[in-house]
Amino acid sequence: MKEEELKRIISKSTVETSDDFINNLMNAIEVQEQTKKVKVWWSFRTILILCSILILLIVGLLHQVIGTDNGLLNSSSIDIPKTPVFLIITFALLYYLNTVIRLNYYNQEKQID
Amino acid sequence: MKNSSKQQDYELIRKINDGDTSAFRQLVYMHKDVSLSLAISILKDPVIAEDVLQDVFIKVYHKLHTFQYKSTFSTWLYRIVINTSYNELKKKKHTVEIKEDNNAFDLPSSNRNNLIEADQKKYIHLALEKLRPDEALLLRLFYLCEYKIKEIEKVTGFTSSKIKVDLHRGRENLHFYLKQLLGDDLNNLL
Repeated sequence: MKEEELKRIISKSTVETSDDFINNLMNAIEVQEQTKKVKVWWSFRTILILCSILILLIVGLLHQVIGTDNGLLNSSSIDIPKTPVFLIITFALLYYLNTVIRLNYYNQEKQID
Repeated sequence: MKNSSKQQDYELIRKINDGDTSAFRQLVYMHKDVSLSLAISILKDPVIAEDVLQDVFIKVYHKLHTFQYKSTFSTWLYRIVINTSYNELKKKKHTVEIKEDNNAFDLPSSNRNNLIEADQKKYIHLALEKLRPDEALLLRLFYLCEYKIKEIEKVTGFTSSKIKVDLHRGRENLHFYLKQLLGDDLNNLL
């Protein structure tokens, strides 16, 4: 087969995209742009860092409140054990942080599906 | 001709980088069909190839600001199309089998007379589908995009000797499959 003949044949091999190809593409780009804007402010990383700081602050404050002799728990007439209260609140907060991470994980899995 | 389209692409890219999305629409319109043809050469499936092309153009939209105007836009775009298509091929583990069944190509004799344009395209696609991905891709780059060996080297990353060998095999195989498909009516196509 001559070069010119091959060129003529292959020039007929262009495949056209579907009619709504460009519209679908532009829609996909628009959706990505929108989610990107939201993600800048409400990204998982931002939320995780904020929650971690908040939990550290609460735990620190709790330690201060419970730890001092003139603390909140000492002022009441009932003898409340300090360590279990501290541990329960700390674990509850860590469980909350774990829920945030888990929700993000499931959300990502849903998006992949 | 090539130079004016190069300048047109550059102009559109500048507009897109300034935030004009309608310019991107125009850029896609200009390159979508050849890009799809290249993707189909590798993936052999038009539906998967179109999905891959959607991903490619989204990637291009987000990375367009990194385009440095050193090469033509089409070279840059086709490189992304080819890399993404080969990655998809690896991921999906598509095995492109060259059918040995000669009877599959036999057409009723009535179909062979006076091939109209649509039929011609169909038979060319069928023949190209039978080629190996590299061969079909190189034939399209060489004859459809009118790229020189050096340019194909840049776009595909293949060595010049591989390009020459595969182009030679591609030409021979295409002729073989077209001959099988059309018999003597191959002359109508030429």
